[in-house]
Amino acid sequence: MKEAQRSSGTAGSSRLPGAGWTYARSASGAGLLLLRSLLGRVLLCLSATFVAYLLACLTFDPLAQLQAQQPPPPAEVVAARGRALGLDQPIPVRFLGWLAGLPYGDFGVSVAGRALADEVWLRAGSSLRLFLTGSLIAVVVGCIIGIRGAMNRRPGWDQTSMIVSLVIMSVPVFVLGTVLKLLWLPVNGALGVQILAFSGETTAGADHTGAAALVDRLQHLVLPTIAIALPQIAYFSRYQRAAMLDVIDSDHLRTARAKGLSLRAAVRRHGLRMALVPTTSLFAFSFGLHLAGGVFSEKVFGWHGMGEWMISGIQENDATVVALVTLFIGSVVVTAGWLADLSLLILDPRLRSAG
Amino acid sequence: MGTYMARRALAAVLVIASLGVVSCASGGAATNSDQTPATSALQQINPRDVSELKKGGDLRIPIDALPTNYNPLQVNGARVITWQMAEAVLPSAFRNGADGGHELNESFFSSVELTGTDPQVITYTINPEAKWSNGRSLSWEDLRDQVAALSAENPDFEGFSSVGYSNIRSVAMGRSGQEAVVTMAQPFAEWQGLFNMIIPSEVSSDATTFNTEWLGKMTLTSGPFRIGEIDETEKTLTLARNEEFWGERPPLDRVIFRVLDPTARADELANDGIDLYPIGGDVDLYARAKTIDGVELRQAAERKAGQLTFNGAAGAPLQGKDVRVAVAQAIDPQAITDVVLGAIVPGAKAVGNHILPPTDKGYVDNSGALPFDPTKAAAQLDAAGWVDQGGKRTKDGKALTLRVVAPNTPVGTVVSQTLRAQLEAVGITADVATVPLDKFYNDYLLKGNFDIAAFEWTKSASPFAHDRPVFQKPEGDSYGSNFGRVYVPEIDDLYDRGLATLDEAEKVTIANEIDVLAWQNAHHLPLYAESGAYAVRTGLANYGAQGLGHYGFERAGWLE
Repeated sequence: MKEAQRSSGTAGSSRLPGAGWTYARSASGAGLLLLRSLLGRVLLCLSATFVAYLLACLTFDPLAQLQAQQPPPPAEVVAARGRALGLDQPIPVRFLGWLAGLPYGDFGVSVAGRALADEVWLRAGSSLRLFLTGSLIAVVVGCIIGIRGAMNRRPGWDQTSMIVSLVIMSVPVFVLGTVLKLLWLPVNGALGVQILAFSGETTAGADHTGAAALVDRLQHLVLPTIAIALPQIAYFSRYQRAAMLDVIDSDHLRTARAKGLSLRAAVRRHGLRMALVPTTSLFAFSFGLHLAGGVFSEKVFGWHGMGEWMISGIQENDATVVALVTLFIGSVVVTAGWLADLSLLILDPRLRSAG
Repeated sequence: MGTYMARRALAAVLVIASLGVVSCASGGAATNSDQTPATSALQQINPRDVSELKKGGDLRIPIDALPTNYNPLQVNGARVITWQMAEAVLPSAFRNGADGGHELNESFFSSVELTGTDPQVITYTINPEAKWSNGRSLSWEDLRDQVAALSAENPDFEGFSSVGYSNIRSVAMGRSGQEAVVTMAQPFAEWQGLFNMIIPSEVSSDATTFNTEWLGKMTLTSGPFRIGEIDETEKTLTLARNEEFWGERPPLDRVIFRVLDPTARADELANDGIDLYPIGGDVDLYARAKTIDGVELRQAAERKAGQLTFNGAAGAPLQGKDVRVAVAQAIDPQAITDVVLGAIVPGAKAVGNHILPPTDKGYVDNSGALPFDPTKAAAQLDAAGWVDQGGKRTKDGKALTLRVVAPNTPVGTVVSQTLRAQLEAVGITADVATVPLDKFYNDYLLKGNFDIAAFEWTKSASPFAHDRPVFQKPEGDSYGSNFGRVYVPEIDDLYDRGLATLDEAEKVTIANEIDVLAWQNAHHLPLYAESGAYAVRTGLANYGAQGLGHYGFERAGWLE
């Protein structure tokens, strides 16, 4: 166990002092495992992007909006726009042409002809700023609540916390966001100052710099972070509680306690790491899903991230935007999943020797 | 100046889209500042003399999306928001008056006159003070290059429309570079609609710059405001007061357009994050507006109007005029208007004209040509062989079933459900589909995949040029905007006459003759005028519900 603990965080190295043949074999095996998993995920991600692009191309008509304009534009103009968008080419050719540009930072153009490269990074930044803070807070707070709940089992408290969690999880984020705003409105009103802002990342038109700019950003971040974190806290706490209970009832923890360790000490030394394993995977995937399904949080709080872009891409019949957002979300899920694999290798010594 | 058409109309009208798309309002001249919405008001903008207003301040307006192409004359740039913001930063010859007429934009033109009728000649005299942001004077060459770009002679230019511009034979320099003489090849009645937005020659003289130079930005402006900042992360567009502006100093320092979802707007107005929001047909937004301190409702009917388009294509159940007229008579536009607008604009009347909006000075309610009359409708259906059998109209054993398609917006849903009840009252089965807005156009309207389609048209101050495609003769895939493929030759003849007459009174007469024929043939059925209601901060003056008028950012401001 000691060796396993020492090796944590160094799974890729084979030259550690004291590391014997077995350890070296498991480290390279783990590396291969990670590489294989990454390659598989990249292929999966590209396949998903192609399917999204294909479906979008088959159902979208990017010229319809122009044709529906009143008065209608000249037919030659509409035809020229179609050619500019490559609509006269087969879908796989269009897709491959678009894919070929990606390594060079060319992310294609929108149906209105504007290059999408800048927009991708701006939107990605907004999404990550919005969801990363809330999700990290949620996983930390949720795990703490879950673990404490598992260690201090009291029937009344358990049931109450479960009901509260279920209620919070059941409330859609746009309702939660609106309720938070309505609850806070009288506070802002009474103080006559916007302590907390309701939408956007910064105050429109304000020219803040330095600390003032940071405070302004925080004022905009508080409510959306609460709205995003609360349901996840409820979720993670329930999940972590169950995972912790499994570990507490496990043989190795009973053995540890039989050796005279208190529950708290046994959990801290031997149980915690095992109980965090499933939550790590869960967090990785739920973060990706939140980015993908974050459109309501973005709408309610006026942030302009990937979710909103996907919706506007669909409304504009823009297959390139749909493919790009799919690729982004896929990449985040792949990366998060891969990091989860890495974390599992660190957290769970059994996986390392399984390589 | 003349009566008639104008500018914003052609602008707003460009995108019929929009049971869901929202523009924002403002005012210019004004007539009514009463706080209670009243259907009779041309505008409700809290009109004040500019000298009474505070010098400075921002006006923050929520919008749906930033422009992609800031060239309002390029086909992808022709969106409501682009034209709205362009009013403050680009020249124009005429602007929309609140009564549906035209107002000369004296900041840019000292006169625009009809100086010949055979051939038609229009002389534009440019205000010598008018300058672009690069210091160059506005000149006749700007007009010449714009005509070349929009006339559709050079297919490389992706112009939004060639209407009117394709009638121009030549643009010549007058007595100086600040005078342009425009000679028409064919008469064009709605000549005031030309140059209702002018872009600089630097952009319009070349197809590539015309199409792409203003993607995501504007390189040259001219007017009371200039582009301050375009923040692509926050999706805000800030117009800053143009210190070089030669006209009266605008009270506002900045106009800030913020992309904000309609669901977030009421909270944002309450929390002092924006200064107004459009209500449209959203009862929730209306109810919420009434509860916000320091906010009032301003309302004036706009050009946007709900209607039902009937599919008269070969083989469709409504191909025959008799059945189409019977179905139209079974539908009660006033009841639909009450359901859609009753809560927001009490007493709102159904629109009685296919061409002119109710607050236009030429408007006549011609709905008497095809009044709601279910008894007559039933008799006509009987005569057409659709007899009532157990509450259902059938012919040769087949039930009369009509496919009603509407966008899945709250208004679209309400309209289609009300329609279903009205049709069922005369024994017609309505197969209702409410579909996403983008699918509505792609999969239903453009493909003629409906019997009755409910959506909104934005009407124009240039009704002949603008609306003709709605009545165009369908030939193969070419049907203009005549989605229902109902063709009435007499209407075509009247359009020819209307487009050729330069007499204002005669134009109104012809417009109403077209309207009567449209009723009699049940081409499409006008229903309600969009509410034109806005929740506006009380201290805002010269802005709000602009009705048919232009926005007038240069006069908007805050009370001291």
